[in-house]
Amino acid sequence: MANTNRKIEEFIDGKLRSSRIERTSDNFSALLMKRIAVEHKSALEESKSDRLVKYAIGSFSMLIIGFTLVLGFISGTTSSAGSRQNGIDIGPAMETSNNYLEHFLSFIQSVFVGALNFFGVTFSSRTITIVLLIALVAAVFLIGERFVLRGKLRSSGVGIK
Amino acid sequence: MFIFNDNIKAAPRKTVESCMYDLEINIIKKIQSGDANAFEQIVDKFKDKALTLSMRILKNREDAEDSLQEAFVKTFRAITDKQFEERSKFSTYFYRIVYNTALDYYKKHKLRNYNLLKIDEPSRLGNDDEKILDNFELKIDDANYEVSGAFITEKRTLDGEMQLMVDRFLEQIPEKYATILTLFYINDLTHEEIAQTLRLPIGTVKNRIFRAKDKLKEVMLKKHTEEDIMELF
Repeated sequence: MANTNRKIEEFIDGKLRSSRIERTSDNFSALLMKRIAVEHKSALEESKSDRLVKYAIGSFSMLIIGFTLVLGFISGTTSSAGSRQNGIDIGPAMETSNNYLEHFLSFIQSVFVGALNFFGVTFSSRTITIVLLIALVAAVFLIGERFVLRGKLRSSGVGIK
Repeated sequence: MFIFNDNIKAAPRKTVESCMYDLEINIIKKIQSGDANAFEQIVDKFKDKALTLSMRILKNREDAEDSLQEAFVKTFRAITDKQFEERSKFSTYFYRIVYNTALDYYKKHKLRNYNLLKIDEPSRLGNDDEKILDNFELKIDDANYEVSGAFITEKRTLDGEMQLMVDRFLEQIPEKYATILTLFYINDLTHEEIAQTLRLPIGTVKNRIFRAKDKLKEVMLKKHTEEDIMELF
């Protein structure tokens, strides 16, 4: 009896192993390879444009870092007796740049306040700063998603489930 | 003169497997170095078995081929983006993409399958289960077995009939059983690899294979006696 059962099991295993394998249509490979060729071409172009964007972002970052270092260097060399008179001296060049930044930020805040007043809403400057900060974070995230995350998601087909 | 024993027999199989693995890795390296045409070797090697898996889920040739095309494109992207890691087996990785793509295709197009042979929940289904089984057996009776009597012995006819019954069974059982049986018997994945591919516990994989085989045995023995089957050995 046990022997019969074992043989039937073996028989079923064999039949399942030799069950029908579906065959793809004749032009399946040709069509697919055409799609692959297009995919390969667009991937090459995309990598070229990605490289360009990376260079642009890299150059911009280097410029900012360089600018900051130069400012730091200038303020370091020009700070002298003034520091003893006023406590902390940040140097004329740094002071000028800070003034520009301050003007720029107060300009953005005033535009924002004006827009809110137009709709009859008023906020304290602290609230506005927080809102602007959130907007900045959102903008950074969206830009990051555009350049980094989108490319990754597009190419992933494995982790769907 | 060669003398074969079990150890000598086992060795070539392992060598063949490792050669296949090396071959796949070589093809993948070629693709990654910019030779997109090398991907055709992967397509030719896997397309039929992968289509069989896709058909088990989608139950329709046209949809299965569409879904498989998509799966191959995703695999190509994964290779070129170097997402595939050499330490994992390529076939396991590839069949997971095929499976996920077919499931997504199914959800996207909201396909409906009728007359599926239920294996689960026999107590809830009760008489309906028997009805579906009867319907399944009627289909087997109506099928054209394409065997003409004069040239084929009775034994071969019975063998062919049994094979057809198994093919029909695989086409009609629910996807969750058909997929596992196909991955195990057609795509040659181990229990562990199937568990990894479908993200299921290994116990569930073994249980589903057991239940499906048990049901197939039941279907076979409703139509033929044990002696009939034993005669085929």
